[in-house]
Amino acid sequence: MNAPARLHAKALSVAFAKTPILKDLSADIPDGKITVIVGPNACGKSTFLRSLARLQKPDSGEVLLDGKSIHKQANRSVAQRLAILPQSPSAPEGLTVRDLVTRGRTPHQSALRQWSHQDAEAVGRALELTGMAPNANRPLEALSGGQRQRAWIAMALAQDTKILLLDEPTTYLDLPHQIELLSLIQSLNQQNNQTVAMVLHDINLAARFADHIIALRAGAIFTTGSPTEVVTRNNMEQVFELRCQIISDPVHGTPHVIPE
Amino acid sequence: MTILETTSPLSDRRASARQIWLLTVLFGLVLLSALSLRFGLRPISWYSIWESFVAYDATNADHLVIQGMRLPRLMAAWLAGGALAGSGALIQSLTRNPLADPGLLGINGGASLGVILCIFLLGISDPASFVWVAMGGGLVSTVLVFFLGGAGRGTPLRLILAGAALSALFLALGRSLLLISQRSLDVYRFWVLGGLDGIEMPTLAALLPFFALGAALAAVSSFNLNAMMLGEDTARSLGLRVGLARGLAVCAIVCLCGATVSMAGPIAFVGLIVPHMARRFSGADMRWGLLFSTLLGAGLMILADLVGRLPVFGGNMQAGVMAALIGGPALVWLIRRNGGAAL
Repeated sequence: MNAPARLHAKALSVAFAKTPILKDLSADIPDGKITVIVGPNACGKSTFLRSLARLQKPDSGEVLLDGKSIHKQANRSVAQRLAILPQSPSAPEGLTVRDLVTRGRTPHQSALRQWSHQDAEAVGRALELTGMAPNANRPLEALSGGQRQRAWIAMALAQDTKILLLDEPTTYLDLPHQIELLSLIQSLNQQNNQTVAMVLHDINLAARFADHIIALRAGAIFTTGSPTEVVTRNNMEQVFELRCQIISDPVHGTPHVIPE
Repeated sequence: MTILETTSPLSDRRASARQIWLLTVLFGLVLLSALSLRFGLRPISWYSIWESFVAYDATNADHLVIQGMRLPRLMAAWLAGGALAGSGALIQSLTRNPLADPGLLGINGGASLGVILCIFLLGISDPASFVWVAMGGGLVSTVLVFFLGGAGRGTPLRLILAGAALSALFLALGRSLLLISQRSLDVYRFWVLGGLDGIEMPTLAALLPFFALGAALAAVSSFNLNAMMLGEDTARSLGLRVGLARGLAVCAIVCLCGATVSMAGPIAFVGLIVPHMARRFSGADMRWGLLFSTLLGAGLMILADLVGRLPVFGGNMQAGVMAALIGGPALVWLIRRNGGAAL
């Protein structure tokens, strides 16, 4: 085992109205890798991700960021190290892409020190990386679903954090846009050495883009590991109750699920 | 002020359009202020106005009118209009509800009940003594609403519902008292219409700290609300302490509206409508939204007060009523021109 991961969940338990959602869940989010959390509907994927991002307070257990409980650290200081894009976020009408991306600088600013050279640089870089620079002055509602999602990712990038969490970033996107978005996330991970953890529904996309997969079932970890270790016939049957064949993706060599 | 010096990363065209609008609005305000000193039942020459500032003569009737009546009135219009519209912008953004009005937090209902109780129980009829009663009533009811609404942890909807329920309760209590006491009604009637009559410098000076504190809190809140308007989760993930930010915004609104209602009675409409007008100039940035709302709100109040003093309206139409008479059609015109898109 190497140095401990910067983001680590320790014996998390969460319940909503006495229904347990997460049960004593412990996991590492490996540094500099893309981790994808998969599992059937209602297995607690989103709750797990939200707990990692301190948006959900666990009933017991804790999330450690850089060795300290995330809930005991100043929210602003956490926001300088960890960004999360919640599921289907909403923005007020008339907000332009640049306005939105600028809000990503909030944790680096204060009411008294609102704009600096670094802020301008980070916003410009985020717009470039996501290819949103040409659309910077357009309002969000004038964009397509794929562009809008890129704008939100640009906001999270402008936050300039080493850790980026994404809750189902491909929801409502068609397949080409899903691939485009995940390729963008992959290139961010490779170029900036950013740690990424995200929830994805599509197990084949997870297998293709993940370095590390966490498979949840009924609020607990079923198994973790590389795509080849996790995406097996036996695991799929137990996690998703899905009878399937696994073939090797002819283009990328990653495992590919063919439901029976 | 930080708000003005901030160079936001806007496209140059939009930023300069904003600055031109800002200068235009400021110019309009100066013009309105000058006119407001000049006209009234007794027109006073520009020279006398000037003289009353540089060489005040207590035996000169013109000087007395300017310094003793019109200047305090003008300042009250500035403060009331600016405070109401500014806090309207805050509450609409805080609750993410374009129909929210600062009165929704129960300030007006509480202040009204405070005043009625004061008239009914203590038999006081001097408007000057209503200042602190109204302030206290507004404060108590807002604190109640804030805690009923989840103390910053509840949803914006819960806050609005708590405010609406408590406001209705306080207004009903107040009205039932008025029904049984004709004398209270006579005194209350003038207070509730919302006016700038008889406001004097000492009252203004006593309330000024509340306006100043409210303005400072509002400026901080406008920065917070820029993140809050992206939703609670996003705001938190951007490092904001959401509960604290909500509390600060509510404090700003209480200071501003509490001071206003105790000075000029409950003035509706300005806080609801002006932020919509301001949004046309400010875009989705709350810092500019707050600035433009404050300035436009002040402008509307000064204009309303000025028009209300014209002989057509018997020389003394309450500014609160007049503001609605002017603002209503102005908003209809705005909506028709833009098909509602800008609202």
